[in-house]
Amino acid sequence: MLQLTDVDVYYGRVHALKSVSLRIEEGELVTLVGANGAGKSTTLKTISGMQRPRNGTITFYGEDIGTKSMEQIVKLGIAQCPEGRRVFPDLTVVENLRMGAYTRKDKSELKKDYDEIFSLFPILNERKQQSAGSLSGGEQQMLAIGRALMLRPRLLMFDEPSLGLAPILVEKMAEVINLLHNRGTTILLVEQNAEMALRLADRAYVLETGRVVLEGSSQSVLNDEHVRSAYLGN
Amino acid sequence: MAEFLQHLLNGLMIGGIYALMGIGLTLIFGIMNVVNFSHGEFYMLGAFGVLTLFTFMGVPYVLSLVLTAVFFFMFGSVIERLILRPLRSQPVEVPMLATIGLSIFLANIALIIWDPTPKDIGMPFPLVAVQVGPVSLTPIRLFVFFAALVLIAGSHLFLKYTTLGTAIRATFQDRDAAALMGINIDVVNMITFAWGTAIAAIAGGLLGPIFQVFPTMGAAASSKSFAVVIAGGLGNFPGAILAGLLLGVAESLGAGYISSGYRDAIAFIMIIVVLIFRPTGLLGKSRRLG
Repeated sequence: MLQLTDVDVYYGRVHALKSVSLRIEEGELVTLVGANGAGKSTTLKTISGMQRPRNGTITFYGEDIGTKSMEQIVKLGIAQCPEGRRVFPDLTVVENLRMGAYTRKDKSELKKDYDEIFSLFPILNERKQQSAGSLSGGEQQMLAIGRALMLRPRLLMFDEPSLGLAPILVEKMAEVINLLHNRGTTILLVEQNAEMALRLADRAYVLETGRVVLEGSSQSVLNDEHVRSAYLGN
Repeated sequence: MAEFLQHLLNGLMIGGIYALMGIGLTLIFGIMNVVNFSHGEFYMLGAFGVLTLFTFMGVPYVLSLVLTAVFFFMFGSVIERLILRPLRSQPVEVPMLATIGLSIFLANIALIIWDPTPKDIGMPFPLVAVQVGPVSLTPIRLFVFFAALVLIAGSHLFLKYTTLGTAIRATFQDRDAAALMGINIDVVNMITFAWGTAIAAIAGGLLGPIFQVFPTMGAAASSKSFAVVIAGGLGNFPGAILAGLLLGVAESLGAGYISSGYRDAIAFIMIIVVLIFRPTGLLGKSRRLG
């Protein structure tokens, strides 16, 4: 469904992505593994249209999205749960969720989605009239995920969902991502915690300084000796 | 006591207009990161719009205000599209300089069309004052105050309860995250600027019948608006309302009890006092909207 072919991205003169090719099939959970600055977040930004590829193509269900606006890309059903959560601090929980559904036309259907998100994260229901800025880090992460789900995304991208969370919440995030995957949501996961990411994912791409250096099933990547020493610490 | 109340009410009326000017300017700054030096000229043009429609063409006053607002909403959209949007990726001083240029251009266009002599719009309402207890209020002043109140409340309700208003607040708080929601930032910017322009024009049309109308009147309106925005806290919507009302009352009391010569100095005294004691604005928190 999503296919990147030989994508080059530059920040000014810095060559951030070098001829990156990757694909995601419907229902898959694919993860990008790599060190800081390897180009994982840049890949997500390029898919969501925040960065433009200089060369190469990005297609989503066969449609070229490399030149589309962020608004058009969201309308196609690509949601992102950004790094650092990025909830709107002075908006209430409900208002944040409503923003996740901003481009949806079927506003009458939203009730169902609120209910679903509140059953997934009951704490958000208790706090629904509170401002998002008053929530704890873990609650904000749940809200960021809920907000992305409000789009009913065909592709859901997570950028570092465990960053800055206590270990018990990291485990909770892993459970949630696994649950969404089991429900059939197509997921692209970027995660510094390579061990967690590879445990959850069907397939993985390993990025180093903007290049894909290894790809394959999570199991095969987990067994790769270079990956074990560089990212898993054994 | 009666005199005090009278000054207070006059101050609240002018203050309502300052608040209107202030919320437009503060939102344009908060959302677009544009310091808009042509805000006062939109106010001036609004007054001339009402002069042209009401005084010269005989259109009813309230309808003149509405038509002026509609025209300047469109005018603001065009300015955003043609001047500000192309400069969006530039450092903040570039669009600021563009609005300074625009303000000079608009003031001179007004000079060419309407010549520099001050003009009277004339009274849209009967001049008989309504006696309320010890104070007397003219119908135009009552109308101005309630119109300002309705517009401020309307703006607040729009930002608070509509999806587009919520999207504007979201953009204010985190532009990139808003873009990730599929919120079209260009549209948010255009609506914000158009709305701010229209509301400044209405403010000019409301105060026009009370004072005189002339092409350079925008400069004083601009400096008052900036006083309100700075005192209220940059980008702070309730702060701008509070600062606008306070400035109006302070001016009115200062002119009444000290000397009317000090009227225009009070805005600057207010900025200095606020910056010394509450540098992030009267309401303390610098980022808040709606």
